[in-house]
Amino acid sequence: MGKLASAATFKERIVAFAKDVGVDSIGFASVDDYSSVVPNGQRPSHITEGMNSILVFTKHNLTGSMSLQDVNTQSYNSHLALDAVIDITHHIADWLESEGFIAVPLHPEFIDEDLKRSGAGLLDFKHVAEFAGLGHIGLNLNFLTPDYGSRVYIGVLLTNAVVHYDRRIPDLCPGMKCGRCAVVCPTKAIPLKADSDASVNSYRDLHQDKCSEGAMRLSIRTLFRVIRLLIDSEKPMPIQEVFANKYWRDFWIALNSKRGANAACFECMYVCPVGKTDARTLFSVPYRKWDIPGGRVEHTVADGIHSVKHVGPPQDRVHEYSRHLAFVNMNPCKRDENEPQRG
Amino acid sequence: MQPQGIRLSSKQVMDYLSSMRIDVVGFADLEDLRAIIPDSYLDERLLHGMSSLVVLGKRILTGISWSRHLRNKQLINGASMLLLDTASNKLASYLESFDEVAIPVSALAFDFEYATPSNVAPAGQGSPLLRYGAVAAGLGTFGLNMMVLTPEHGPRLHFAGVLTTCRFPRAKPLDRELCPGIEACGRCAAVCPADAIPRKARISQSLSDYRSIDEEACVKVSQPFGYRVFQEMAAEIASSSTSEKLWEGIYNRTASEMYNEITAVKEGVVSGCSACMDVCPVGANYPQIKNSPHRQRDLPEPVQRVYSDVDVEVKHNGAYERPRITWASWLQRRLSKRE
Repeated sequence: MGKLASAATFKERIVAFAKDVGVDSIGFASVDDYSSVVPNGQRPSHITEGMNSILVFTKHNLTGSMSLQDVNTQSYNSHLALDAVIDITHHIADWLESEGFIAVPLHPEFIDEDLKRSGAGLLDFKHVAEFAGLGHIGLNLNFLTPDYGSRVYIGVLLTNAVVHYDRRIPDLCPGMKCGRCAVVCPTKAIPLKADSDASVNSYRDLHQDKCSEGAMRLSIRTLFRVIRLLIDSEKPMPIQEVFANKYWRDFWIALNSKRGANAACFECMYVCPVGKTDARTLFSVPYRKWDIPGGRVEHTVADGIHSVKHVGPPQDRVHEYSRHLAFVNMNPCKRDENEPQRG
Repeated sequence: MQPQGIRLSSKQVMDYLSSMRIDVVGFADLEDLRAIIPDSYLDERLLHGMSSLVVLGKRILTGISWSRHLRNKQLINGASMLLLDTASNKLASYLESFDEVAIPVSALAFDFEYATPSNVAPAGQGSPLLRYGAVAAGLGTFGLNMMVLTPEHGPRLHFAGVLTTCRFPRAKPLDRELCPGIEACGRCAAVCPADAIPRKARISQSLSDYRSIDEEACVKVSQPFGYRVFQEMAAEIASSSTSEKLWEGIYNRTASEMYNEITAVKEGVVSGCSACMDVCPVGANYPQIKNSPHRQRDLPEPVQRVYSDVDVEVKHNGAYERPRITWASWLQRRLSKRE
């Protein structure tokens, strides 16, 4: 049996093993080929030299979790999904090493402040997954898969094993022609307009600071902001009232169980129409029908610009993204222009 | 036929654990453990009424020992320790299904009452109870830095355990030292970023007379954002005399790294440095590890030794990939002012 046939067989074995331990989809990319297209320091060599292949897989967020009204429970479930990703990555690496190879799992939650001051992943998992043919990076830089849309997490490991590498698949995100994620974003972090003739790949973007206001609203950055507000207060703050605020409860739970620490907003995921396995089920849930009024996005195309009208999250969820701003409201001399609103 | 008083065989336990990705299993009779563990590590509150300590070992992936990025290594080793805790918990339930009594001993068994977080040094391999248990169970021997070296994996594994009333056949300790000591090796001492491992001994002195670890020095790098840093940081903040000094104490990289440590790193809090593990030549997987370009940079030259009439001393190199975020610059400034 030639080397090529052997490689194809071994790849099939890896895929079979990975599916057995819980991955939804799996792809492979060459370290050298991927490294040649990375514009910054997020290359495999930042983690280690001497590896040949990148193995990347996806694991979906439970449809039941995405169906819930309770954002906090979703936050907890998202971390359980990430814990599963870490365990699966380690398990596949263990197996590869039992087959005589070397494997380096990458942790999906580590934020490297050497790569970027505000933090960056060890590799950009979304770009790795797109490169390896698992899906497409959409309008808001979320990664979409054919089966579960943007409702997925990604795991990656490096290995010296060599297999047949996968190719990119056609784009999945319709971009501004859809725009559903952009119109509901609590913090307006997603583009709301673009050149009407352009491909989504040219204008897909995410204002990270604004996104973190929602998605990382219980993280260290919010804590810094709250503390700065308290330090800068023009008059003494009532201590009992300050610590009675539910923000501290959320923060304590985030430290204790990771709930909401790095993922506390899923508005864009609820409404993504891509996902042949879960989207229809998800959109049939009565509560999810409230996400976009009437289920329709208001589009305008004029002077070569396609824009969508922002509506924000439903009123019953707005408070989730502004709990920490209650400290601002204690001091009426300071207002926050980024306070999420449905308008 | 089972020896009298033994209801569950070692093989049954090993078969049970084999599906949970546990690489090494040993059985230490507590009388054998009590005979070798120093009194300061002997906690009868845990051992009272128990007969055995089942020691579970999870190997560090060869790829992790091979690679460069310290914080990724730390986190992945944390995932390994979580796996150990899960397995030990399940084993305890399994033992109790045979009418035994069992208590899991966490891979991260910190004792804040009678010890400090430094007692899981070096490098978070395991508490003294687990490491002495591994030796009593015949899994390995202590190395120069008080890590347990095993024939299969060298020191590149973490331990958890289960204390139980269940009795198992008594293990025989290994009959030879696995660690070559300073005169024949000394690699761990040469690379330790904290210089926490003995580099000096009398010529021909027995390893058992000089092996040790400076735990407090080790945790400066192996627990880069552990309790000690948290304590220092909290004290710094609490003693701030102005709001700007307060802000400076809070708004810095150490705080965000500390947050990352608490929320994402979690179990990996003790595995921030594994330099000694990476360079140890003991273990069947070392021939593969030493081919790593990163490991070849650890000690590009052979370990250098200086001999006097009576002593031999290993020259200190430090790690080539020195932990970058061991101390925040502000903490360094304050420590240097105190000295």
